[in-house]
Amino acid sequence: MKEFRPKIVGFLCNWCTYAAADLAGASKQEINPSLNVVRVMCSSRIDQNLLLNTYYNGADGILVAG
Amino acid sequence: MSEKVGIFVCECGPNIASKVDIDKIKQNISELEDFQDKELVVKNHKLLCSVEGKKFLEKEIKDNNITHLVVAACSPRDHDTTFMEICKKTQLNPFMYQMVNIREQCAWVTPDKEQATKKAVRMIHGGMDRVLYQQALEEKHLDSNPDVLIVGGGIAGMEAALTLAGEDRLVFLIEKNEKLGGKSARLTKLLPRQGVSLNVLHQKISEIENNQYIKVFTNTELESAVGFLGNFEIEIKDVNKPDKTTELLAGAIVVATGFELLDHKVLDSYNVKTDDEVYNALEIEEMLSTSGKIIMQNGKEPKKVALIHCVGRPEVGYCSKVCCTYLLKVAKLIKEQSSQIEVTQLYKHMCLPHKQDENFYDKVQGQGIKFIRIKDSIIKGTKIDYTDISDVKQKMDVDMIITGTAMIPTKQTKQLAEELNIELHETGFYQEAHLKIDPVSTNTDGVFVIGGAHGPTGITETMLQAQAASGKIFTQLIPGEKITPEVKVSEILEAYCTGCKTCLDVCGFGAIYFDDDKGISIVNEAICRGCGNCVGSCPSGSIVSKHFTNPQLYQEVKEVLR
Repeated sequence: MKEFRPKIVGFLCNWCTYAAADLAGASKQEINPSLNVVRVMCSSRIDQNLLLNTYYNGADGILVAG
Repeated sequence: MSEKVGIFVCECGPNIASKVDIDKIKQNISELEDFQDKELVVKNHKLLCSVEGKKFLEKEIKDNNITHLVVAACSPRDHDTTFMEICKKTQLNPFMYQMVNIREQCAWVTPDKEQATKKAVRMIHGGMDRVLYQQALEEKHLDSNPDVLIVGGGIAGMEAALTLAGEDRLVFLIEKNEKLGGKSARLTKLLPRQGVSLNVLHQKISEIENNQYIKVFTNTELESAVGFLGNFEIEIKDVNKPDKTTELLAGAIVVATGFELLDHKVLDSYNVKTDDEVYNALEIEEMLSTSGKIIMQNGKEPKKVALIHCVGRPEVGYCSKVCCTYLLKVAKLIKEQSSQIEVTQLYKHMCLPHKQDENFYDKVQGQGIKFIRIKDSIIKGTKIDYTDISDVKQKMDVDMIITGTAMIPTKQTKQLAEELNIELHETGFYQEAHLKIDPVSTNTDGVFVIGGAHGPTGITETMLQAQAASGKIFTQLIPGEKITPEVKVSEILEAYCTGCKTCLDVCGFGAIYFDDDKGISIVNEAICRGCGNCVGSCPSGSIVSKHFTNPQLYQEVKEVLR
């Protein structure tokens, strides 16, 4: 059986979590490539349309962090 | 004009090049099915942010007539503006470009080269699809007013006024009392050298009065302020004649409204009447500066004086920073007045934050002053019941009690915060934009908070804050220069807005107002920071987040999920 590789979209806030993810990158922390980061200017921008659209496009999980 | 998408992959020296297969990325991108009908320019470069790299990119955009640009490189937090500047040098609108972060978010966090390469392709593909949906946005340039309104004529406001006027900035300094000086005018001597406070202060007041660039309004309060960085319309009112208002224009507002001292009589542990010999330290300061010594109401010198630290600290929930050294100073002044007076300090913690404090503490200890560390105390008149650190209940009867009470926000703080749209901290003081990296700014651009209004501060820190806010204003408002507000802002589509006002509640910047005639909400683009909070909360979907529109994000999401 083929190994399950979840597809995850992370909506990260430009000012905090995206900066933190950048820092994780600069510190060469390993992050599973299943996570696909989409930068937004604030996590409060994320509404139900965007969440449903993301699932509709095949996401197995969504991370909203801000 | 036909679409011509330019994709430039930066190798970032070995940083990206060694972690992903650049050639494979280029090849995969060029073969993307949904881009078969588009003209693509796919190139890589060793270091796009270098002088040579920037020239290369500029030339490529011009020579190929690129209409949509994707730069796959480091974090947009590092170089987004760098590449936007390059776009500006060409025919390309900087908002027709998208940066894809294949360094921090891919190359550096994905050890498996094959996986990293695949992920980079997905990410770039997301950027390519997104950029096709992007729209050219134009920057606006607004005139800005370099003048400054300072609310509060205490030592904080005065220092800011003098600093700003030193560079010929016009300053409006408003003070609700009839005289300038604030709390500092009530102090007798300043630590550590005990220079006389009033001399320092009078010098500053006369400098202000003689300065042609500072317009002082005493007995005056702020009535209203509307606008944004560079353009505030302000109304001030006469405290004694509230209907007498004056209109002013300023580019920035400095809030220097100071603090108040907690009244110890409100505390459960203080059973004190007005005529008891119990004073807060500021009242003692006034006694010292008017009569030159400490005396009781019957005109006699007290034989025994107790100074109590941390009064109200558990109730307010924070340390007021200056009271320990302050009470040490008062104790020293009493001993200097008469070595016969028995002086005791009842303290819980000794807070000595500045480099000279420890030395001062040692000096005071050598003057026959008793120090008792306590856990708790209950005051009845001038009788003290306290628990010492061995949990033993003790009693003390003195002639006079001096309290080091907590510094608390002024009564007007909340009202002014609402008027200026600045946030309050849970302690009730104004909230800074960032405690560490932006300590005198607030959540509203162009509004600064300094001194005791900011939280408990000594004079040294107040001076630093006043000078810092002045520096911020010098760099943000340059006479003759225009200001460029954020372009990636929210826009409310008139036809769809139902006038429910939800967005007015969620906007943290006060950037949305309601047009009663049209019955719709409108975004003030000069104040909006483009967070998109209103977009997410709008029930009718009538708000567009420019440069972060739904179609743009849908495209990016769709491609990164492939």
